[in-house]
Amino acid sequence: MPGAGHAYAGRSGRALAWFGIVSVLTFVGWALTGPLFLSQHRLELPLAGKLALPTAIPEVANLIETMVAQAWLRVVEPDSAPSETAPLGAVLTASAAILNVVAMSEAHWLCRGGAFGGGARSPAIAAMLAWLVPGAGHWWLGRRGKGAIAGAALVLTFVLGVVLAEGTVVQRPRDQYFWSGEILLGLPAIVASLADAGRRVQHEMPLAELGLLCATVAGLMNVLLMLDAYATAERDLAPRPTTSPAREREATARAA
Amino acid sequence: MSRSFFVHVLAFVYLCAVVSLVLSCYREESVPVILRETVRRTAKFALGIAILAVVTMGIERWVID
Repeated sequence: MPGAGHAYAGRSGRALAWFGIVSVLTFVGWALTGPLFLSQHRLELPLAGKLALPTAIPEVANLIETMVAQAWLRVVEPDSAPSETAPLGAVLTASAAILNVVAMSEAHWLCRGGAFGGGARSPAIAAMLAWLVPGAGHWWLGRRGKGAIAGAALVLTFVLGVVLAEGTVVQRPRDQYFWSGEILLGLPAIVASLADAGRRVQHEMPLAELGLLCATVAGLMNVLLMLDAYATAERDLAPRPTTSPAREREATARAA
Repeated sequence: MSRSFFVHVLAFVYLCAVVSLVLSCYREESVPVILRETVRRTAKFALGIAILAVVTMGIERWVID
């Protein structure tokens, strides 16, 4: 549940903010997507009555709200017509799930004893910026050269993929699992996903698979940049978070 | 050897370079060190893939055919 980790850590303001942002994106997204996608991506649980697990990636990272949306939208036949607003809806629900992962990482940071203030920059926000614009997390943390070269390399690889496949790679209905990797590149992938929606393959494209590979690798590599931005911000913050009460006791005993 | 083969080889070397660059960024802080590490890793990756490709083609030609 978005924000529950922050509430547990005693940060009710941040909990409400994360809950609001993630929930609005999720439900607006599913309203635009319509019931077809969730009907096609669900795992029936025979022993649990009508309960079914959603298998849409990355939406499973926001499991409870996706299950609520599933119950709200009901199941439709697989050959129903897709909604015209589905590409925008897909982008919103996927963004909500990725932001929920960012919220989880921030709640984890807070529960480990991390604190903000005095100009300190949140590791989770650095990771979020790194997702939105590759390299932006490092740029925000003052590692401008590193952010620029890594971000430019990933965006260039993604653009190369889109060009090789003539703008037919970032399409969720056709390549659900590749799309899940591509969307990790943030804004460039979101823009391409909306621009490529509904574009059909009209002729033979010998390099289409290579394009799909380049675009997906760019998205997946951005996860490493997000993790590195998170770790860099964590290193910059002082004092370092307490790792465990046992280590704290050890340090106190050593000091005594 | 077709044009498509060379395009695929070039693309794989490029992808090796991108993966090497991101891995180097993950480990290092300074830009010159990152670039040096990238070149070293790309050479190792590309060599590994070339050996793998030769072995695969060898198996295809002399064992399967």
